[in-house]
Amino acid sequence: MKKIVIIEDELILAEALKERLSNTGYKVFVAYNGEDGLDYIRENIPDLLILDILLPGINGYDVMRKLKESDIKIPILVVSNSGQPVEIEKSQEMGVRDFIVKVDFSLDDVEKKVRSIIGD
Amino acid sequence: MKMSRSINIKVSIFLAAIFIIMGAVSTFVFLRNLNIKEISRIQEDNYRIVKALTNELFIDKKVWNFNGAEVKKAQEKFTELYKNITGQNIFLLNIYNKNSIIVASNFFELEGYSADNLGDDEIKNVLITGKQNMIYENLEENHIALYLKNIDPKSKILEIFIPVIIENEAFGVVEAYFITEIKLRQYVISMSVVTGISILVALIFMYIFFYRYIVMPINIIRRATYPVSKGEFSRFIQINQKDEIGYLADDFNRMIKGLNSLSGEITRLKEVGKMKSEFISIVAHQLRTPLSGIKWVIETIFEKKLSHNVSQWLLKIQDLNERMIEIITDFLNAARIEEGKFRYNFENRVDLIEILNKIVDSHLISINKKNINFSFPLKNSSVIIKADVGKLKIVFDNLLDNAIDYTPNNGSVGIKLQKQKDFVIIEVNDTGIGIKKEDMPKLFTRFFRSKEAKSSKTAGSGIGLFVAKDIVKNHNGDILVESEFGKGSKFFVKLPIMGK
Repeated sequence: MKKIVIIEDELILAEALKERLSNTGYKVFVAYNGEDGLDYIRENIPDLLILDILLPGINGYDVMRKLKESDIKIPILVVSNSGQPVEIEKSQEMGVRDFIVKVDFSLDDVEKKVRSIIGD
Repeated sequence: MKMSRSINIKVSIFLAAIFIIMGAVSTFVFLRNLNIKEISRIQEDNYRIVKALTNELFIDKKVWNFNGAEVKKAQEKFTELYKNITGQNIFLLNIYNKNSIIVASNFFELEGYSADNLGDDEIKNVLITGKQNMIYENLEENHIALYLKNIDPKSKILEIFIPVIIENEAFGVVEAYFITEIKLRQYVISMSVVTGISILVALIFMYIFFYRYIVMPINIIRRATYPVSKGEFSRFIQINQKDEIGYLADDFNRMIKGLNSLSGEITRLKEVGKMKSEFISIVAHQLRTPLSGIKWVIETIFEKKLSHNVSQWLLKIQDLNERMIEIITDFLNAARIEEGKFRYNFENRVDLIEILNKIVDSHLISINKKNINFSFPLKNSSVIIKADVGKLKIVFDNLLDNAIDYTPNNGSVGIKLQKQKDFVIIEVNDTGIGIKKEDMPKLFTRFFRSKEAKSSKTAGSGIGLFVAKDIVKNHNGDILVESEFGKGSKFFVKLPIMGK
């Protein structure tokens, strides 16, 4: 079973996402801040990281940077609130696989994206 | 601050021209008078002298007897006496005998010549009539004087003929020449110098006067008005002059005071405007998170087993939520446009038809719901443009939303494409409520909704078209509208096509 880590501070969003993805055959772990997420990733390298940008404490970019420093290479799907061009550009520079703006995407869309990145 | 050509220089040039013309005219008039006076004075004096000396020396038959020797003596005596009286040498003194031959002359080459040789008819005339004569003429016109060298040919000469008549018999003619010009030239020179100096002095005074009372105050005013053109209303003018310029300065100071209070008000309004759009931006942004939460939660609930009734209600909630997301997105976009933070991410070679197909697909549900007759004939062609896909989607999403929303059930909505040389025109038409003529100019402004739009059942923020116009403009395109109130509207989006 493929493992997915979600770093998302908004509880309800994280829960809804977790419910959908675990119901469709993935093992999902949720972290509500960057540090907890990083700790978990370092111990159990997942197949995909679903990452929010605005987080309490260290933000999404910091998480990506630290992963690079620790030489952990996993695909990242950014799920952001604003979708400003600056954010998208910056994420692309950091090697993000895909970028989703929350309000514009349904859970179906997210699931499709996930499946296209890591498969079943 | 640019100070190209001072008004002072212009005024000075102008005054100099006037002075020079005036000086020239007055000098000319003065000299003319002087000339005439001087000439008549010389005429009178010389005439009197020549007449007197002639009477003294030549009215004597003995003088004319011996072969001209006595005449010569008398002529020399004449010259000498003339010099004694006037202090000047006589210019030319010729004595003719009754055969009009020169018997004596202080210019020796002339002796022995006859008046015929010299072409001088005056002599004969004087001999015959016995009348004395005076001629005043230019040197170059005088045959005798032409023999003489080293004299300016433009000089004027006075020629006096006095017949020697003794006992009613003409014995000869005394011909005397005088140069009258020498003194006049000195006058001209000294007059010019005096006039020139006085013009110069007057000009200097004028310059100082104009500089002090006109140019300097104007410069002071300019130093104060220049900052105003840069939007600074801080500089006052200090001119203590009780004339028009002084009053101008006072008026300016009053104006600055007025502008100061006005600019304070403007700054405050700008701040309010900025705060407002910042506020909208923050609110819209904050609302996005809970709205996307609701969106995903509703989706999650749909996965559960629901009664038909509950899922109907839930669909309604989902509808409302989507509408809220749309409105919030519109607000956020409008605020970003106002703050200048609406950044574009252009891609080359985007297929416009593909974008339109996606937009159409996402509207099929609502189109079917209202049983709208929808036409989009160009589904399978392609038009390549340079675009920010996300932004352009907002435009067509808005236009199609409006077309569907404002068209009643069973109406028609269509999208047409018209390719021109460098442009493509996308027409979105509907058979909806239409737009009144008076509302047209306000259509693309922020928060505008026509009375009819407000009273229709559709929701809307009045921002969509404002955002759409900004986006199209940023794609170097344009958005236009045609509408007949009550019958429907056509929106045209003109976008540049990319070359192959």
